[in-house]
Amino acid sequence: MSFENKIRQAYDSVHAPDTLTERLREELQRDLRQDADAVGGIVTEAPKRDIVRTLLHGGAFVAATVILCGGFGFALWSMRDKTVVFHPGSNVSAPADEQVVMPEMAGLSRQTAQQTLEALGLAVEFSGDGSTVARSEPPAGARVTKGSTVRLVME
Amino acid sequence: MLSASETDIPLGIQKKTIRMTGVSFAALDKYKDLVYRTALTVTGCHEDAEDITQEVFFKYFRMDPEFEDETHEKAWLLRVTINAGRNLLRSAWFRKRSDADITLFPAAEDAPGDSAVLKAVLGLPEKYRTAIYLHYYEGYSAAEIGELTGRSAAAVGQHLSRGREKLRKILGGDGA
Repeated sequence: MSFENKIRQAYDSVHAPDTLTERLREELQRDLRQDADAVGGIVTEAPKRDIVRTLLHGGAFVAATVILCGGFGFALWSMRDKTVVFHPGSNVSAPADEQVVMPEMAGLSRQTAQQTLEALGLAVEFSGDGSTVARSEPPAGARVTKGSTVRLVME
Repeated sequence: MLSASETDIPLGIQKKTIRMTGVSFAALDKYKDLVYRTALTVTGCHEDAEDITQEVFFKYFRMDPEFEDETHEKAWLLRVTINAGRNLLRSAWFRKRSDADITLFPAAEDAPGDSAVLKAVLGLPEKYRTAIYLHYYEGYSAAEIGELTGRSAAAVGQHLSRGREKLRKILGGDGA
């Protein structure tokens, strides 16, 4: 018998024992089922975790809103309080027609004058074609309601 | 937000779930003898071969590796089995145990059904018996065995010829 055949014959008689195969099959099945359960856990858990996070984020947002509103409300409340104390009977809506003092505009360039007045919250209307301001209407020092239009006479 | 890795894991194991509920362990029936024979050859002991076989199939079904074809699948199993067997041989536990038991009672762990030839092969040093088994039984060339065992083809060739020589002496000459 050839060397190769001897080896072949020897190994042909070697088989994995049936007890081993059976045990292996059972254990593999159990192992993979555990895996599958774990996956089930992960899959069902993931959305839950998302919901929790969303709620947390939502909660934080609501809390921030409440704090901001509260702060704002408190500020308004304290301002209102002062108004009542220091200016009894005055119009509460006074801040809406806030007044500014008309600055001295004579000698300024058209552009600088416009920027200055717009920064104060006034609209500008020019009369005349000159490049510098001669005078303003109303004149410097006068009280002007914010948002109103002032006229600059140019020369 | 789920990170990429978090979403990847379930997808990977989903495949296993499908296989678990549906398909069988066809690979187990197909390759159990291959893995067991290889494990027996590397470890030289039936008990260890059982442990290794179990370890290899657990790895196979857990990792669920994808193969181009059967040749690659077989090669993967052989490589994993050989490595697992060698790790066992290297482990301190095995060295200690082999000092105590195996050298004192060399034949104690041989199954009664083992043929004289198998006993002779398993009695060779690990690198010789693994090379002999892979070449003469599984039909791999020296170069292929080198790839499977991480050795050069020349080294495997030498192991084959020396192993053959030793076997001839043990089995009494007529090996061609």
